[in-house]
Amino acid sequence: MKKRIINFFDERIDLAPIRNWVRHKTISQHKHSFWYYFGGLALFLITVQIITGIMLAFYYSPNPATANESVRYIMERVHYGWLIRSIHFWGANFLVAVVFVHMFSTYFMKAYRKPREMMWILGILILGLVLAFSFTGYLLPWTTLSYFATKVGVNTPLVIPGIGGFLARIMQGGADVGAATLTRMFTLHTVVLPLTALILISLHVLLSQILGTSVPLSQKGYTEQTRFFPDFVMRDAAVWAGGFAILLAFATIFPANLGSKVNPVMPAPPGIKPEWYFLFVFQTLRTVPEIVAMGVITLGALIWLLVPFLDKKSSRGEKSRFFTLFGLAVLVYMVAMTITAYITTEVH
Amino acid sequence: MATNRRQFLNRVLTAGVTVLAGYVVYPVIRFLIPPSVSSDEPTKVFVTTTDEMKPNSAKFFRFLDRPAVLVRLPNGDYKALSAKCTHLGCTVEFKPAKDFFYCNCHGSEFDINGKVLKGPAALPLPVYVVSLSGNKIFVSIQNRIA
Repeated sequence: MKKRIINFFDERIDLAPIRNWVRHKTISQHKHSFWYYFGGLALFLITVQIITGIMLAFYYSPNPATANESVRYIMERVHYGWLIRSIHFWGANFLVAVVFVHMFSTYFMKAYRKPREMMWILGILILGLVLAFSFTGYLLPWTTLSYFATKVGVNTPLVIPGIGGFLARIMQGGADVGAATLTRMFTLHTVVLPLTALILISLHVLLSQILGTSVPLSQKGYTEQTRFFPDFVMRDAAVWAGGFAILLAFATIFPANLGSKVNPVMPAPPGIKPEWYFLFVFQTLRTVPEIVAMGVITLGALIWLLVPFLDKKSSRGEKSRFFTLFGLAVLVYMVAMTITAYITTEVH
Repeated sequence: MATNRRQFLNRVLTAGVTVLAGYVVYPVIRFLIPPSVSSDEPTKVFVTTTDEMKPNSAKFFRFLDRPAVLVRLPNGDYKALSAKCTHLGCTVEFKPAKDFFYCNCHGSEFDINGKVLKGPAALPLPVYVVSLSGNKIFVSIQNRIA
């Protein structure tokens, strides 16, 4: 039966080149190969998010009068609705964490060096998309926390001279966060961002297939080749299964809760904070004027994006201590600001 | 170097495509920018009655498509201000014990006249005009007799 199906396709489309490619493709294995599994895990989690997101969209209603109620309906009435939403909720958190690990491991292994500059740039853009997914999805349950988090988010670009007001107005869809903002966030979250992600992720994966995985400079001469199929694919599948098991455990043991519906006229509640992955931005905004915070974060992001072109030593196959220290400084800053924001709660 | 026929046609074609792209992109961007708030937005609203406002209390309401707050001070005077924090737009909270406004998002503080007491906000809260008509309290952006 299997042979007949393969023959059916073989007679119509010549599958031999694909078979040959799979048969001969190998992956470099070395001491730090473990970190590469995070890329595959991120791809798997994105798939989980797409599937659960489509399922949630069957019931969700993007209107201030019904949004919170529709999510409550999913959680309380729809069969396994709580589980699907919890997987989507935890999946988003896991995805951000895994993409960050993937980015920092890529950075410290200097995998961005020539000829993989474009892979790095695509990866950073995908990280931006993942954060944009989180931001746009956050408002959808229309809770007090999500409302004010979005208010802060859409007002932040106002400090950008010239186009700040334009950007804020496009995101808000009106003078303030309201019904228009909710429909815009829903459209971005379910149509615009997924289509953009599909293009960027396809290019990222395509480049990783064309260029293969990078070998860290310290591991040159200490690598061995593993067959892509079935060896590497099976290991990747095992990591995906493990990741999904942990995700399911979190979704089951700590189901996502639904905050109270927002009353847009009432004050922001005490101790309000964004999700953990935006805490370093939140703490920066709380510490320095927003124009300085935005300037530092934008400049940092730009330098981070252009690192493959700035770190010329790595591309020449030499050690670049400065960029290792720079990466460590960025990591320490993000962790320190996150912890500071987490432990300091000003309640008057 | 002289431009040959092929180069000339390429340039004309590129210019044509650029203009065409502009014709497509411009309406898309214009479509995404929401229309401005209509000029018939009321600039004076009824908020509440004096019976409902105890001394040292606040009432939040919507005015000019933004959150606003009406405060009755211990001495009986009324103050109305925008409740939208001038830092990043959260709605401020009224602290009756100290007669000031506090933003729970990033910690800005404003006095009862909207003046910044503590950053990160840099600009004061806009102040509105309160007027009474019998026991009815109105808030406006212009000083009119109710």
